[in-house]
Amino acid sequence: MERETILEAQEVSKVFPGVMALDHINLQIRKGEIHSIIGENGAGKSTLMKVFSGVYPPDAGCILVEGKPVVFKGVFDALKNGISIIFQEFNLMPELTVAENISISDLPKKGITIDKKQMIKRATDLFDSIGIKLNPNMLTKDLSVSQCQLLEIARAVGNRSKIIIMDEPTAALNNEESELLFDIITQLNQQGTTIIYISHRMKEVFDISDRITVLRDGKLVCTVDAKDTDQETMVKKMVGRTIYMTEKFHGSNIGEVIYSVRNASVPGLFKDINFDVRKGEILGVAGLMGCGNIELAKKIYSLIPEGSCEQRLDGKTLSINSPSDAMSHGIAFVTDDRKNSGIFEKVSAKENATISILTRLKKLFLIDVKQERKCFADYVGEFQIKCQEDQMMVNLSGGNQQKILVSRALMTNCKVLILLEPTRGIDVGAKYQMHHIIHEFAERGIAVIVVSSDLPELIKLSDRVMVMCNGEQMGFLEGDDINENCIMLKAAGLKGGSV
Amino acid sequence: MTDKIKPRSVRSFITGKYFIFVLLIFVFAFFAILAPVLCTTESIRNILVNASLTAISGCGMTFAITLGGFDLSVGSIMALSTCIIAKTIPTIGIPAAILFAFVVASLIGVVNGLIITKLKIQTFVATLATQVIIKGIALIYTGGLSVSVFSYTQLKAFSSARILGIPLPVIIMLLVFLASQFLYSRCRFGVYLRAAGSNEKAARLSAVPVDKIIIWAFVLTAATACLAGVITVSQVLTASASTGSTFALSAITVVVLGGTNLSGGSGFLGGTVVAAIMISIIENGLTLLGYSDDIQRLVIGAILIVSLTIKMFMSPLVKRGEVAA
Repeated sequence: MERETILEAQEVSKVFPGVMALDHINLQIRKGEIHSIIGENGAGKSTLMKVFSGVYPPDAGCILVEGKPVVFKGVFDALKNGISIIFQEFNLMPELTVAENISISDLPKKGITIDKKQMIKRATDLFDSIGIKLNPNMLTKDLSVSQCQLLEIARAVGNRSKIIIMDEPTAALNNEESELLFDIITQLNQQGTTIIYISHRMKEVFDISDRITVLRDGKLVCTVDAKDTDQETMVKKMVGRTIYMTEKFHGSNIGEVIYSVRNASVPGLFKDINFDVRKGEILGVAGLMGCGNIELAKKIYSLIPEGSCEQRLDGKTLSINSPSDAMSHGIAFVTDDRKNSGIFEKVSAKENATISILTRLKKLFLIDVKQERKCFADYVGEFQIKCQEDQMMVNLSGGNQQKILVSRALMTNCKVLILLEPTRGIDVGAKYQMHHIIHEFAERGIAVIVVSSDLPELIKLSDRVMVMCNGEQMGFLEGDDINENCIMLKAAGLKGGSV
Repeated sequence: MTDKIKPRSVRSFITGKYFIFVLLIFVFAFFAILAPVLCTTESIRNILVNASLTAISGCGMTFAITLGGFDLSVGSIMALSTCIIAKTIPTIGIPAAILFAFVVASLIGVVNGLIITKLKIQTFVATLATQVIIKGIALIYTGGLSVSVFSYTQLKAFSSARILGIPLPVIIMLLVFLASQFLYSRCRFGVYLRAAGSNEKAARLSAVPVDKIIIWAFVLTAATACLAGVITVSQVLTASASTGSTFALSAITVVVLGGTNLSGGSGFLGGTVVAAIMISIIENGLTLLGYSDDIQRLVIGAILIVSLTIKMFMSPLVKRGEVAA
């Protein structure tokens, strides 16, 4: 059954300085389908979506809505044509209440004042109609990431959108929250809304999509029915080379216990966590969102002042009161929130990498620029970072930014490396390289702790996995026990799996 | 629905939004004990009248700061308003002179707003520049001399008249506060203001008329500054271009002390007014105890730092954990 086309791109091209971001794209979105767009970062997915939603005008070609050519002068024009986009960075106003965020474009009036009752009723009705639970009186800044996601969706529905574009909606959600999101997407779809869905996560793309389009380097590679293909094929098409998804690393050079944490507790976050990491070992820390694993890593690096945490490195007890203490003892840390607590957006790539070792690169009172360059070039070469040394950080792709953050940590000659969500929001190719980098440095004798919500990643990388649930340590998994089943059982608080 | 707010204890009441109210009581009690004369009706009237100037302008400033900006030009606007009133009264009379001052001030507000929205200059820099320009205009207009209007005694009514024993400036302060609060919490303007202040890009994408709101906010800061000018000129019956050189900082001080978030998005007008009253108590109290102006400044600066520090350190643990994490 061929359904009619609701949205179409004809020969759409978009050029950015030096890059052909979109190269004569022809794409038809059918009415009522869930259409996933996949591709590496920089493949042009986001650009295409921005053209569809009126953020950018196309340089060539045209957009057709229900067969009629349209020109969008801005997001409003797209909205008027029934197209909503939910960006990765939310477009919510944190200091406003949930109800105000819903109604902001069209506040109900009563004389010269706002009809607050009507505003709240509107929000409640809307939430009921799509089956989500949110308190309309809450301040939006107090919502969790997944709640913000739901609020954005509700806003799009409230705008009577026929087409909703979602740019990586699950990037910051845990499994449970993602499931809820899929339920709502499915329900909206059944009510007739067309969904364009962008994601890096192959599994969910296959779970929910009717059709899948692959973009690579600004070109459309293919559009296929989801049921006629499989994940491996799609990934090959995305990267244009074969990647072994099921690869598993094993540390071949694991030595003695080098680093230990004892009695780590922070009231309200986690309690009594104990673990050891051996030289050359990768310890994965798994758990559902909110289990305290991220916070544990932050506590180790002294980013949380409350609570206690005894640490021993090379047999010596450490006294750590600040991140710089931790670093001086040989502990390095890479944040999960690249944008806000990782990169310096408007500083060069080189300076972003070397910021932590400037004291070492000192020549009298100056920075030894020659040595700094060399140091940076070494990592650029080894990690295959695509950048100029004085290119502004904000202009690099997520994958390259992440590699620079990891370089920053490794340059400190650390003995223990803590990585939070090391591949969040980066493309498949960069992710593959990042895994090799992590493995390689573990082989060179660094004790690595990886905290990640991406289970396949943890399974691939870890020599051992510690699972947490509700702030408690549920035990360790080794060898063949490191699999999705065992981890999930423990993460859900069940005593399954071996210890 | 309200279960999120209820368990908040006395402690969070004290350290949260209403911290400034508690501080006010402490400060008042402190000076009332050391200088009991502070508690007389006359003295309280004095305190409130003194507070009215910064409180009125502070209400306008709260709008600018809720947008995530500043208006540094309010002192100059106030000075220019006094000069306009004093210079034009002999020819057009008191009501028209005041009206004229309001028109000029509002136009300056529009210009501030246009510089910020159309030329895309940050509020701080834009109003830093207009502050100097307006002062220059006032100096040229008056030839650098102060202008006296001693013979127009009716003008004095603005500062000395009383209704039910309450001085007119205090009543004006209350009216300005109520009107601002109404605008802030009941009208679209308030929601738009908070929307633009908390995420300007999102606000634009949501069809919030951000530019219009910015311009209006700066008109309101200018108009409230002008109102402060009217009260000033009626108090001293003299106008000078050099009036109010530190006025903008005083207004910003009371807004910040009152609990308005400097990063924008949430303002607290009640806090602004209470902070203005508290500063006035400190000034009066220190004067009664025989301390000079200089000491008063020292104390006010110190109070600003201490109160913001107490607030940060006493805020709930979890909240701080989030900030650190």
